[in-house]
Amino acid sequence: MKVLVIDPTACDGCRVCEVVCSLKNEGACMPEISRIRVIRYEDKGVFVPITCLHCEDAPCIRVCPVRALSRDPKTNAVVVDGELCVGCRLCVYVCPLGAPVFDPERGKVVKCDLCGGDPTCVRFCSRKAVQYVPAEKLSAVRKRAGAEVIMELMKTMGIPGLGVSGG
Amino acid sequence: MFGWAGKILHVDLTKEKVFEEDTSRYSGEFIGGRGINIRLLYELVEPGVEALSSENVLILGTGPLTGTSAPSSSRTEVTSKSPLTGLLGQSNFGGFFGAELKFAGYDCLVIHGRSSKPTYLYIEDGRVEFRDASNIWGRDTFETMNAVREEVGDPEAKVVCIGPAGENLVKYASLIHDMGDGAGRTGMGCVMGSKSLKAVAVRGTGKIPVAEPERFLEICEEMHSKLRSVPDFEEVYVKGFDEMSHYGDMGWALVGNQERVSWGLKTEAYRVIPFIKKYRIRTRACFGCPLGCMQFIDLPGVGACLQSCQGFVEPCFAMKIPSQEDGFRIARFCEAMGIDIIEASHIVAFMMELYERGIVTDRDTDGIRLRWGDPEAAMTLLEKIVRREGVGKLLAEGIPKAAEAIGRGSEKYAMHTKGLSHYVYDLRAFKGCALATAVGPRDLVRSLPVEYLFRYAEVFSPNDVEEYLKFAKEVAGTERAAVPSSYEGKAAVVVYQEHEHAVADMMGVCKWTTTWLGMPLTSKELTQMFNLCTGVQMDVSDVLRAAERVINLERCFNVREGVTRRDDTLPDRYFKEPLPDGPYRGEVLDKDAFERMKDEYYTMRGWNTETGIPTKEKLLELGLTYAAEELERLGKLPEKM
Repeated sequence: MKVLVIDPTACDGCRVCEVVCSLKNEGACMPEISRIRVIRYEDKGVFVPITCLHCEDAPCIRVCPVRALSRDPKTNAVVVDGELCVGCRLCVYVCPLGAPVFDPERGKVVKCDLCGGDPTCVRFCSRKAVQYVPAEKLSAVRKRAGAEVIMELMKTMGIPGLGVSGG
Repeated sequence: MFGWAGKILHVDLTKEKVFEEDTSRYSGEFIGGRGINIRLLYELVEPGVEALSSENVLILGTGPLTGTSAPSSSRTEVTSKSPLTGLLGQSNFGGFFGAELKFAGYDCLVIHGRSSKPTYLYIEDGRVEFRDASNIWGRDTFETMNAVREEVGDPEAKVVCIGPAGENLVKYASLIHDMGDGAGRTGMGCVMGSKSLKAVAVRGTGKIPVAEPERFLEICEEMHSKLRSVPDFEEVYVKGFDEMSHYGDMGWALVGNQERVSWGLKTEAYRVIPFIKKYRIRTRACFGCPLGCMQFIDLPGVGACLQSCQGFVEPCFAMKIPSQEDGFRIARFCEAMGIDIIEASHIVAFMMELYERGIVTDRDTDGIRLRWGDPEAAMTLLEKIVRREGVGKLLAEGIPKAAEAIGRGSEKYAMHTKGLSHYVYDLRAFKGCALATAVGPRDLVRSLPVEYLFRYAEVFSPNDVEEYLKFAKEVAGTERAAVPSSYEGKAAVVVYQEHEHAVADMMGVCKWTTTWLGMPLTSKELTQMFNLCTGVQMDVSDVLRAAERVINLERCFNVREGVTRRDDTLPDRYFKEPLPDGPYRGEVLDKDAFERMKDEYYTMRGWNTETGIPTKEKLLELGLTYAAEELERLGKLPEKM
């Protein structure tokens, strides 16, 4: 099982994920309706990709009054059934990240479906700020990244025991 | 239309009126961006119009690929008559403004007239508001953008603005967007200031329709991955480029008002990486860019802003400032005040040289001791320029006017071509760069000849040397065209690269992805993406022909203002003072060989070699009948070469 992870410390704010998501799903370049958005704090140099992270216990599924949201058994993605959706937008509000997108043109909610298991945004992200990784390995991957930060710090501080490049 | 938003927005500040025009009127012949911009400018600004009068227009144009999934599709081209040179003004910026303008429904924004009071524009999905800017007039660019976003009540609004320098009509004032993307060259911020226009904010929620979405997405993915897999991707774009020391090692960066090359090879002081490591918050990319050449730097006590390449290089080298912290401080000041870092660095360097040589004294400088490398002196002088105070009033007019007023032989040290300063790049050993600077529509950076890349390869990546020799052989028929100190084949290379780089500027894609920097995208790839995006079927040769049309019309604009072959020149320093040090020690530009390169260039262009003016035959061939007729009326049109 793979999961989508976002890494705001890696994102450089280019927004290519938005434009390719909309092109893939809507056939046009239209960030406003992209299932992934990058919230840019341009004067602080902080860029946070926001998209559905397909919660294990998803509030949107629970809140939907017409049961339009469900889990895709193949990808584990939380998906919306456009036929059922009545456009009440409750899911947009209960989502802790505000990830579902209300499409005013259709009067319905659209959202990330992991492109059926091969997310387009991941394929384009040059900084690996959006990744699609095996869930089982996620903890080890994150810990290794954390360890690298500590190793770098130790090097900078000249703490010995790190081989020739240490200090 | 696919690719294009379809509309050009004209805003008349005098009448507070707007009107729209179809992009399709021009897109067939001029594609977009730099192309449509010159077409509009040529028609809207009559010859002889004062750049700061209300008859001048300021054009911000995007290309058909701007705002799409094409890599690095962020660009906006700014075009106007330049108040600094009195000729064609053009500058180009990235960031997020261009894409947003298209999402708001417009390919291009043309600003006419002059407002009677400080104003800013808010463009939101096809609606335009004229808003009072009295509260933000006087504020620096970073404060202005925050204030505007707050006032319009949308943090996603994209703002481009001027700072105090533009308000005070400093002739080389810039437009600034985001944290330091800027259209710096040729005084576009001064034009905006003269219109009492403080900022343009834009917010768009619309779409750019694509002709063949699936195939376009596929080819974009291929191009993105091509760029991501350049060998030095990690080295340059993730860690940060050590350009200053690299330029020094190459013998390419000029120091101290273009006098020397290597400054005794003190390049060790300019290792940028430790500086970046210490003060970088992160790398930052413009819209849709897989490279991300910008560094978001936050220097304690100074503040934050973006730096790509020129920010550090220009003040440090031109003024011999030995610390990057000081270089950054000056660069950030220029961005906050909205003044072109290139022109500003060189006018201060010019004054420093005059001071060191005793041509000007404390009496001329309001008591500022303009010693080489003194960052405090530089800052004090720049502050005066921005406020047009004391000596700053004169220096705000630009290098040629300053030299003229100072006299006393200072003209000899005025390093400019047609009123525009050069970059800190060598023009004595690098003959193609000399040619491109002299004959080009703006300056060297508009189109960089391959010799720069060849030299870079010689020093840092010998494996690539062959590739550039092969490229030179293909383009110019001789490998010598890649060798900096050779005069051979340079005209062919300059013509070729002027077209290639114009294509990127017309499409709305960053030149950084092209052969300009040895990157993999050429007019061929851009044309493929263009065709799938717009549904228009053009051959590469059609697109290159459009680029040629653009270069010719740009030239006609300048010819109309009086430019001839005689103006396509360089200061005497490059012809008379051999490089005193560095790997090209002793190199100087040979006047006859230089003029021969120009002959070759004009001949290849189909321009008259005596006058440097496009011939009737060439203009008609390119469909520029109106330009031919006008030049004929003005008695300037040569029948043939």
